[in-house]
Amino acid sequence: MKRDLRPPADRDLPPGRLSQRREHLVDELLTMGRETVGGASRRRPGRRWVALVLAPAAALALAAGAYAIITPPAEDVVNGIGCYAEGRTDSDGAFVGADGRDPVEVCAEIWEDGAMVQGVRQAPPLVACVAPEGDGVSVFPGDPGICQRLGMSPLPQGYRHAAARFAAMREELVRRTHLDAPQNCMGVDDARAITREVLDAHGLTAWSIEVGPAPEGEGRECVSLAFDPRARTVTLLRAVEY
Amino acid sequence: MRHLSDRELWDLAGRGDESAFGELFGRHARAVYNFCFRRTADWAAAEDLVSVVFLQAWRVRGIPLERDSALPWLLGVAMNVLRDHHRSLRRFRHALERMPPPLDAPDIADDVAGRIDDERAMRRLLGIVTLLDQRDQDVLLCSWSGLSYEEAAVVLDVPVGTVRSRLSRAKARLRELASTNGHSLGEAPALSGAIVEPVQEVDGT
Repeated sequence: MKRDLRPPADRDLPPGRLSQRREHLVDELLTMGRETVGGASRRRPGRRWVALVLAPAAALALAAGAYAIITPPAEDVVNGIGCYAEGRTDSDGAFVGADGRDPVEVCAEIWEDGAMVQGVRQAPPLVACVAPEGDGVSVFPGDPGICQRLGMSPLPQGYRHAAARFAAMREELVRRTHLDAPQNCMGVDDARAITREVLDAHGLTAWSIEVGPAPEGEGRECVSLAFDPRARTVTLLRAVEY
Repeated sequence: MRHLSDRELWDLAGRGDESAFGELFGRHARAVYNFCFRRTADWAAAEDLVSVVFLQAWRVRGIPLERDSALPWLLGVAMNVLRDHHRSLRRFRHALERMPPPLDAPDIADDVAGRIDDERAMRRLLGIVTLLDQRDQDVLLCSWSGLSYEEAAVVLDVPVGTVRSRLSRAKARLRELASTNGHSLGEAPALSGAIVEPVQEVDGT
């Protein structure tokens, strides 16, 4: 009789279903990302300006037989740091948030912790690069020419200031909106007002606020935040609280 | 690649890294699966609800994780999803319809029979538990998952002291039900060991 008072013992998901569900989840997230944040990503302040100004320069360089790589603005690439174990983008790596420190220093610490390559506790010479369409910084072991060989450019000027400012804004915004607890709820109007205030306070006046599509279902509507530095946008994602 | 903590994976997911979120799924899907089963008594529904919980959690991925483990937070999302799991399943029905059919794995008769037995036993247990106040049911659900008081407080979004008092109340009420309804579940001495005790005390408050 005693066993009746206990719920049945834990079980695994049926064979093969865990990996199948995981793949399905990631596929769905890619779709959701396009549906919610993707709309905002298409509108990129500064993109048009870059295209207009740099296109003639690129054409000139190509005519001269040279190879030009467009360097994105520092504000575009503040969305994290990828530390790679080898000088190629498909090597193993560790990915960390950016906080305004030199990305080479950040990755060197990970190397020195022995976390990059088993048995290696000394960082090799590291180089920070940014991809033309990337939104973060990639740090590779290698010589200074590695960025160009990988089709990337060196860290743009002003990166550390831009990364520190973005990180501080994000931190304050999350704190002010009290969305750091799973069951806190803030509506669109309040979240929009606070977001605008925080963005402006951090000098990010060119950033815009997008509001995601209306959720299905009935109930109290709560928002969460999604950041897109390339689009200079904070998106308020709407969901119905159960 | 080094082992990333839940917090690091959550941070990556917050910046749109779907594969990091997939890794969190791999770590915690089993616990969420069993959590959902204990409220639904239906393994198939619990499996779909695992997907729903993670799809819902993705929508609030911009919120920093305050603890090292993402599990209490995910179970908090699950708790909300389970408030009306039929509606939750309807809400994500399009995503669930895109789930490929199960792999052609051979059925293991013992496993199938065991799952049917589980569902029957869970329905019987829920028949008693659902007589409790909803908040007491919730705290019991946390205790069945082996959560500490502190973790249960995160799941339920209440202070640790509230978890203690609700658990105490749930225990007393269960004893009362067990002794009065003549049900085969009503062996009071087993309650404290079988249902209530799995919540581990972590502080002295």
